[in-house]
Amino acid sequence: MTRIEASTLYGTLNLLLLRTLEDGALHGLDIRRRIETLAGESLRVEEGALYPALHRLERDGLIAAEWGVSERKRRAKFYRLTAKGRGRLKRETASWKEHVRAVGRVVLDPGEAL
Amino acid sequence: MIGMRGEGGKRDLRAIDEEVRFHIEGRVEELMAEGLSREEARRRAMDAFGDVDRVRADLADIGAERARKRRRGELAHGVVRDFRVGTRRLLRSPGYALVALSTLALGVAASVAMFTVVNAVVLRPLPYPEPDRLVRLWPSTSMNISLSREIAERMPSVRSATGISHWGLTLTGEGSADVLDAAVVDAGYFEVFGVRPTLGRPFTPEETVPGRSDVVLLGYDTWRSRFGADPGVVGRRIQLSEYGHTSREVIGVMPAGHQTLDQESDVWVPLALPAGTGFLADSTWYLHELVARLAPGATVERASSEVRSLADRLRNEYTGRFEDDAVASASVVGLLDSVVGDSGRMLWTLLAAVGLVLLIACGNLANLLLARGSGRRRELAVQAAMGASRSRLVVQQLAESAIVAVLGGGMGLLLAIALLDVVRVAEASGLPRVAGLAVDGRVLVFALGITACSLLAFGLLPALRATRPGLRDDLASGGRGTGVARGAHRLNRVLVGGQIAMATTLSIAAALVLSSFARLSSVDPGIDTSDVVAIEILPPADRYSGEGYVTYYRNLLERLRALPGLTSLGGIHILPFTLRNWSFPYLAEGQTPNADEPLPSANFRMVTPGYFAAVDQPLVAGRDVADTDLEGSPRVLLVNRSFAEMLWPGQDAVGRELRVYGSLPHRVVGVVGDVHQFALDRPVEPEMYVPLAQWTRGGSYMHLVLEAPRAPELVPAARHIIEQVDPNVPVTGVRSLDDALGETLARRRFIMLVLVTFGGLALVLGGIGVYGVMSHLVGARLPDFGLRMALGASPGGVLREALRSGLAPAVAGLVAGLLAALAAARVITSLLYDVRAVDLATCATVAALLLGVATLASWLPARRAARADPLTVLRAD
Repeated sequence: MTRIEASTLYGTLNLLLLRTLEDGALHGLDIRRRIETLAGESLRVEEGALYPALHRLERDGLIAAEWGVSERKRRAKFYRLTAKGRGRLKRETASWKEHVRAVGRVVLDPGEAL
Repeated sequence: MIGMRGEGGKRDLRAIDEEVRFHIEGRVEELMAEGLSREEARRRAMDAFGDVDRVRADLADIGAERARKRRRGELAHGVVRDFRVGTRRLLRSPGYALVALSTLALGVAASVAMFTVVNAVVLRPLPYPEPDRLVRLWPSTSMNISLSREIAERMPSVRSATGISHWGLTLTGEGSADVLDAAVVDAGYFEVFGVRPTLGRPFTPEETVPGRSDVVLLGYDTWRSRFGADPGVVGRRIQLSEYGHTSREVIGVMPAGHQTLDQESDVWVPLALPAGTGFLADSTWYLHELVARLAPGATVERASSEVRSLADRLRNEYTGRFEDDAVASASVVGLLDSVVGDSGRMLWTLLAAVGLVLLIACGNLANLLLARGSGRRRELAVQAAMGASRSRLVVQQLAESAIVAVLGGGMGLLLAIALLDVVRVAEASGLPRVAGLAVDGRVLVFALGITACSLLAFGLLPALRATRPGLRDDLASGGRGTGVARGAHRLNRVLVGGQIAMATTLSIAAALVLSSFARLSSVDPGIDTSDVVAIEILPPADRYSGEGYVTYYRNLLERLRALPGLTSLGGIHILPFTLRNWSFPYLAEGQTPNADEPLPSANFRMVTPGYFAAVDQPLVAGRDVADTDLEGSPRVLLVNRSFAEMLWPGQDAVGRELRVYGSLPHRVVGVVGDVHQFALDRPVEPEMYVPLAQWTRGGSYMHLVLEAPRAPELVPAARHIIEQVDPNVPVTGVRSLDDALGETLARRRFIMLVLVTFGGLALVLGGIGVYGVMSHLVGARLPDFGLRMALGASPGGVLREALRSGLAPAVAGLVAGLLAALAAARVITSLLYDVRAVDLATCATVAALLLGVATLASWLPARRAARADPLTVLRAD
C-alpha cells in the first residue's frame, strides 16, 4: 500500500483540513484523529505540519480559532470554518473531483473504476 | 504601535507553546491508553510531530504576518472612520467650519490668483519650439538692418537671427481703408521662431532686397476676416502701401495663433535693404529688436561675450557712428527674460506678499484648532487610555484639518478663477504676456501644493499639541491641568504675535505703495488731459507729401473746426504718454560740436497751430506755430522750458538759432511748458516742436486733438468728416488723453491695488485672529476673573487686565512687523515713487491702525470678563 505524504501538497492538505472542519469546530488532536479515521493508513499527515497549515488558513481568513475547553478539561484551541472557508471548500472540492476525473480518464484502463 | 506589536508578539508565542504542548501531551495520553509506557509514548509522539522548534518558529512567522495584515486593514479602516468622524464634528460646529473654511479659502484664492499672473507672465514658456535657445541681442541704439545682419553673421554662437521692426501698412481695395500692423522680418525669421506658413512659403533671402521685397504673408486671422479664408488669395497682388511698395503679392498665410512676441501682427513683410549696403549707408531703418536662435550647445554667456567683443571691433571700424552707448549696451539676454523684463521681480515680490496673507490665514486656523484641541483633551485621554497610540491620535486630529484644507483649498481655487474672470485687474496692468492668463496644470499643482502646505502649517502643530504625552494624567486630573492650558495659551499668543507682525509688514508695504501712487497721481503732467480726445490717422505717404500734405491738413482741420461744441483743435504727430518717440540730434547757437562725439538729441514733434491750446500746454514765451509758417518761409520751432533753460540758462530763448540734425537752421519763436512725455514717473526731457507745414515729407501718423466738454461724442462726426475729405485715409485709433495718461500708471495701479487688497485682507484676518484667541483666553480665564471680582476687584480692573493679556502679544508682533518692514525696505523701494521705504509717518499711521484693530478685537471679548458674574462662573466650575 502506497503512502501519500499529504503535507507535500499544500493545496491537498488544506482541502483535507477544510473538509474535516465542515461539520463543526475541532482542536488539533481531533483533526489529526479525524483525518486518520477518514483516510486510514493510506494517508499519513505529519503531525508537525498540521499546525502551520492551520495557522495559514487562519491568517487567510478561511478558518477562525478560539480557545475553549477539551473533553479532558484542558484549554485547547478550537478551529472552525468561516463563511469564506466554506465557499473555498466547495470550490476546491469541485475542482479536485474534476482533476481526479481528468487524470483517471488518462491513467485508468477503459471500464476500470476508481 | 511598536508597543502593541511587542505585547501581541509575546502573547502569540505563549499561545503557540500552549497549543503545541496540548497536542503532544494529548498524544502521549492516547498512546499510554493503548498500553505504551510513558517514555515510549512520549518518544513516539515527539517522532510523529517532527521538529518542534521549527514548527514553533513557522507558527510565530505566520502569526506576525497575520498581525501585520490586520494592522493594515485597521489603518485603512481607521482613516475612513477618522474622516467620517471629522465631517460629523465639523457639521456639529458650523460656526467654526464657516470661519475656518472662509479664512482658508480667502488665503488660497489670493495666492492662486497671484500665482496665475506669475505663471502667465514669468513661468509659461514662450510658444515656440525649443524656446530656451531664443535670445534677444543688443545694442539697441543705432541698430539698423545691415548692422543686425553683420552682428548675426559674425557671432559663432548664433544659428540664425532676424531683425524685427513694426510698421503700419495701409490696405485699400478690400473694403474700407485700414491700417494693418506689419511685422517686418528677415528671411531667418522662420528658422528663429521655428514656424512655417500654413499656406504658401516663407520669404527667401532674395526677397530682402528692395526691388523684390513686394511680397506679404497674411496672418491667419487677417486671412479669415479680410479674405474669407480663400486659399486662392495666394499669388494675388493686393494694394498694401508703405514700407517701399504700393502693392504686394500674397505668398502665403501664417499659422493660426502665431504672433511675434507680444505684438499682434496682421501681416508679415520682409525687411528690405539694397544688397551690399553697409552700416554707414544704412541709417534709415531702425529695428525694434534683433532676435536669434542660438546654435545647439551655445550659452547665453558665451553669446554675450561674443557680442561685446564684436561691439568693440565695430566701434573701431565705424568711428564716430557706432556710439559708446551702443558698445555699453551690447549684450545677449534670454528671450523670455527680455520679454518679462523687471515685471518678474515685481510679481515674485507680490507673490511673497500674498504668501504672508496665507500664513496669517493659517495662523487663524491653527489658533482655532488649538482652542478646540484643548477642549478635546478629555476625550483624547479616554482614547489613549484605551490603547490608541499617539500617531493614531495625530492622524485622527489631522483628518478633520484635512477636510477643512481640501474644502477650503477647493473653494479658494474656484474663488480665484471667479476673481480673475470678474476683476480682470491683470489685463489692465500693463504687464507683458497677461493675455495668456489662464488656470493651467501648473496653477492646479500650485493650488494643491499650497493647500497641502497649509494643512501642515495649521494642522500639525495643534494635533501634536493636543495629543502630547501626559494624556492619562490629564484624565486623572479631570482634563484641567493648568500647566497644560498655560502652554497652549502661550502658543496662542505666539501665533497671534506672528500674525500681527506679518499684517504690519504687509500694511506698511501697502501704505507706502498707496502713498507713492497718490504722489504720482498728483504730479502735474504738464497738459490738461480732461475733455480731450485724439483721433489717429495715417495719410499714405505716396499720395500726401509736399504741397498736397499741407492742403490736406488745412482742409481737414477747417472742416473739423465746424464741429458743434468744439473748444479747440490741433494736431501732433506723436501723442504724449504713448511711449512712441522721435528724437533728433541738434546743434544749438553758441555750441561748438565735438568732432569725436555724436551730437546730443532732443525729442522732436510736429504740430499744427492750435495744438498747445487744445491740451492747455502753456505758452511761456514767444508765439505758437502759425498758419504762415510754411515751406519756403523761415524755418521756426518751439522748445520746452527745460530745454530752453538747459541751452540758454537765465537768458531769453526766443530769437535764438537751433540746427536740427546739426545742419538745418531753425529760429526759436516760442517756449512752451514742460510735459512728462512718456509717463509721470519719468523725468521731463528736452523737446522741439516744429510746424507740420514745414516738414511735409509725409508718411507719419497724425493725432487730431479735439477739446470739447463732451469730446468723445464728437468722434463719430469727426470720423465722418475724415472719410469725406479722403476715404483712403484710415483712422487707426481713437483714445481719450485721460486714458492714455491712465495707461502709463497701469502697472503702478496694479501693484497698488494688489498690495492694498492683500494689506486689507491681512488686517481683517489678523483682527479675526486676535479676536478668536482673546475670546478663547477670556473664556478659559472666566473663573479666575470671577474669583477676583468676588474678592473685590473692580470690573474696570478686570477689563484692563484682560485687555492687557490680549494686547501684549499684539504689541510684540507690531514691533516685530515694523522691524521686518525696515529689513524689507530694499525690496519695497523698487515699488515706490518719491516716497522713502523708511517713512516714519507711514509707520506711525499703520502702527496706530493695527493697534486700533487689535484693541477693538481684544476689547469685545474682554468686556465679557468684566461682566463675569462671580457666582455663576464659580458655580459652573
